[in-house]
Amino acid sequence: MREILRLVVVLTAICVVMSFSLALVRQATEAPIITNRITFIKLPAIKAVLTGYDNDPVADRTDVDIDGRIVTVYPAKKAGEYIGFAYETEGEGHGGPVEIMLGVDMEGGLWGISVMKHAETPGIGDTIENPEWQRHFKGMSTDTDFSLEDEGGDVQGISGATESSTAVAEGVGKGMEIYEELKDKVAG
Amino acid sequence: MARIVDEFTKGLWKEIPPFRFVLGLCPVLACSTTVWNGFGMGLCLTFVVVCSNIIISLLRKVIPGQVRIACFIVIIATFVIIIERVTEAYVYGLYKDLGIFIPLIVVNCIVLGRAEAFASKAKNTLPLSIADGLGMGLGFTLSLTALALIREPFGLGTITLPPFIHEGPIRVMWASYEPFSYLQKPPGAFLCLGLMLGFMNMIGTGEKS
Repeated sequence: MREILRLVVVLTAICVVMSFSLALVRQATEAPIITNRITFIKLPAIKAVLTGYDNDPVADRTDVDIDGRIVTVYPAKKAGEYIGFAYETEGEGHGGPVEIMLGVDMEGGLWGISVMKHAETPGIGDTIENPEWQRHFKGMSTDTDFSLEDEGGDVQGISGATESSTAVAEGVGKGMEIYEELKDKVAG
Repeated sequence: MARIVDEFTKGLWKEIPPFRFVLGLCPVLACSTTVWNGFGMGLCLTFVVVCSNIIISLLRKVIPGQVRIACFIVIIATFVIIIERVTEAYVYGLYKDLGIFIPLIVVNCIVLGRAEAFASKAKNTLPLSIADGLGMGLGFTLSLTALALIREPFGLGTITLPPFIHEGPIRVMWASYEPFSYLQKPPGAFLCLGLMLGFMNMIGTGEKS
């Protein structure tokens, strides 16, 4: 009995101390990591999906509450007027969530999408990174059926990467569903 | 003192982990595509090995034998997450290139191997464990860098140094050099590793067998 108690106490104590130090490290590295993520992951994606703006979308970013979920909106403005905005959405891929940046104009049309982060199988599912494939989302809108062509939708599937391309299509579709609400909230 | 030097230097040649023990091969094959990736991976692993050796050595009389592996893994995983966050915060390029291989240090057999075979042994004092971890980590770094020094110049025609020394790859081959892109692929890594093992065995350990 005493022996078992000793096992439990030691292992618990180690876990507690280690989790506590992890919390400290997390706090200490939080700020630079957020800056890095925005500059290295989001900025290139934002630049890829927005066009014709003259403001700084990252500096002008605003957080919008959609049914209790915070969505960050990166506005594209020309001469102070909204011409479109970018925001993030997510699809459920084979290896976890697929993070996608959407760029939309003020009429509900897609300027483009950019897959920012994913954990799809290298060499198979990661073909969703293909810029040419991503470009074919351009011009789709809130009216588009975001399922694969095989299932009667408007999105081209990638052969061999059906699950991953479905994840992207669904993510984009999910993003477009909140478009109207976002537009009302940011540009009134 | 001589013991400390011995424990440190054994990792650099006599027991250099990937080449002598053929251990920890996953990052050796995957992260030796460029010199900076290999070197950076090595440094990350060195950090983890040294830190986990320190903690495990300090706790070696406290940790009960029955739950030692669980304790080791918790300690190792903590340092892996620390190095992952630190690289993401301060050396983002490396973090991005190494990707999944940083979290995978948790299951690297060199780290657990040193904890189990060296740091947790009652007779090995703290300085010895630090020397052992440092030696093994640096040996691993050397191996990765050596492999990358074959794979990168021949496979890409370049050498990539750490970004704080020189940003971007430096071209080392002549202009018309057509790179063996095969060497950048996993089979190329096996080829280089095999040649390296053969070479190391040819030279021998410096001891009479």
